Amino acid sequence: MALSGLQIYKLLPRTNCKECGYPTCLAFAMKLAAKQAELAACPYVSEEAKAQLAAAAAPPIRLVTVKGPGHKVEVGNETILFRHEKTFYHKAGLFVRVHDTMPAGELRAAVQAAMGFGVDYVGMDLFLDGIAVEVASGDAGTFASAVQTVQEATDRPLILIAEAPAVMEAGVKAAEGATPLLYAATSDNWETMAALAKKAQAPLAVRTPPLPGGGWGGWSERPGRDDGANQGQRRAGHGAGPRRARSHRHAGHVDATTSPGP
Amino acid sequence: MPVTVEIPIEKWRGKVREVTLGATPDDGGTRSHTVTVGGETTLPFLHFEGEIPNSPRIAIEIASRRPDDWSPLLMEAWGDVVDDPATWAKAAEEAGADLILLQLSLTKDGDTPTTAADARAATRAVLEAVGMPILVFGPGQVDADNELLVAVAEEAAGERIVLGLCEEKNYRTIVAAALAHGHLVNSCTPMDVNLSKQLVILISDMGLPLERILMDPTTAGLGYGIEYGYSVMERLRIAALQGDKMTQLPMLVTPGYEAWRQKEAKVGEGVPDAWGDWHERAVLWETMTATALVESGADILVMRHPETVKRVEAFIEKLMGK
Repeated sequence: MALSGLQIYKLLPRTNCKECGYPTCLAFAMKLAAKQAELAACPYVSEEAKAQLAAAAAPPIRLVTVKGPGHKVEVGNETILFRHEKTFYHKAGLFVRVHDTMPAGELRAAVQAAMGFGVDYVGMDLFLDGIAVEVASGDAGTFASAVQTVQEATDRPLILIAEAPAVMEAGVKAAEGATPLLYAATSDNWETMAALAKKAQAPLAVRTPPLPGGGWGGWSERPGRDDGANQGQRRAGHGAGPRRARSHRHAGHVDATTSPGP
Repeated sequence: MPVTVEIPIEKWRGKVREVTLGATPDDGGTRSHTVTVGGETTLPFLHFEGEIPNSPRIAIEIASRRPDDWSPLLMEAWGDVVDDPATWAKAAEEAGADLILLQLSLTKDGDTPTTAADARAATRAVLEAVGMPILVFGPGQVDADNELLVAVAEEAAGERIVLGLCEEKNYRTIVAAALAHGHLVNSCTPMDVNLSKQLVILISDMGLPLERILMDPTTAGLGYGIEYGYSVMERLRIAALQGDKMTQLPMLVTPGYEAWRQKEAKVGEGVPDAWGDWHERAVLWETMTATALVESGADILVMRHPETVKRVEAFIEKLMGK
């Protein structure tokens, strides 16, 4: 949150030494609040005040990075709601979802096809950002080998989709050397997932039921995701959410969705 | 460890005006029902913050004769109904239209200009074919628009149809016709917040009540500047909610026209392989154009392909929480 001039003033030495070029500390604080001066102009500001002011100046939405050896996706750091107010800094990442039950050859081919896809659009090189590997087998070993297959087929970032911590741990291990997004912590598994993400220094997605009062009822209708138990059903068409509906239209198990965070 | 999230609520002072299209026999028309749009007291689909009493509605665009310049995919989707506006209107009704927009063609056959009598006949035929409210738009050339729309206004007297386009260069004639015969107008301006407001002021100064004006801020197709149209619509809606009366009107946009004139939708050959299946791409182009506009506050979407209409309707239902 941006601080007001008075809040900033309280963090300054309040000696009115004028060395910053302004007649008083308050005047300098007002300029800082209006982003018309730099804090570095004050030679006496404490380290603690510097840290507080830097934290307050950071964009309200944090920057999250998902990284593969050859490409990274950065999202967040936005400061506005409307495009006309200023600008948006990071576009949404686009990931293609695959399942670990696909035979290795098919999986490799699907990943290469998706990652090889590109369109030159009036000078802009449009492509997909990475692959989301979802556990459908319920088995840690199968998931790990699928992650490895995908990792070998592309140098772009991965999203690992699993809710059983043991499965996720195997996936994280297989993705060593990259910084995947772990999807997802829920009210049931959050402690282990958080520990896993912390250890791997990887970002973690958190999934919850929708907040009350939102208009979009779609997410709450989604089937439970207990890693495998009802995967067969889900792919057979039990999914009610829009993402599911979409995946059924595509041949095979590859579906072009946006990054799977509601 | 229960926590409570304080959801911030914006307290808007303003409200988008409700505009009703069509008149039933009780109100001097012949429509089986009316369609009301507008009435929002918050930004699109923020149901937790304010009221969104009316869903965005879809008008399917039909033409007074077989169009020359429509994509073959559209011609294939509609088939032979395009030879007769009444049959086409019925087919559009079956395809899920909430409203029919009759686009008058400039000529009857590529040569002979469409006459006032032709325009009356087409309007009459569509009014008799369907019970829903209709919109009638002129060919887009000032002289032709003036001649044809004045005749159409008289033919459809009392039906509360929407006359368009009502632009800066011809608004006097169109508004006079709407005033004389109890219709609405579609106030259309180039993509600019101030121009939108200015034309509404001019129209309103002629005595047409604000309840009979729709605002068409002009948009663009996906990939061709839609973000500018999107921002103009957002700004108009924010101004409306902040209390600016002359922007408090429901917005009509034309994603069908915009999407289908772009190469990605229109052309199947001589494009990169990476563009994929033509039919799916074209339908997606219109769908994505329309859904972006729904998100930016559109109240009426004028669309062309029956499959697109289904997809956008499903999208709107979800956003309305139905």
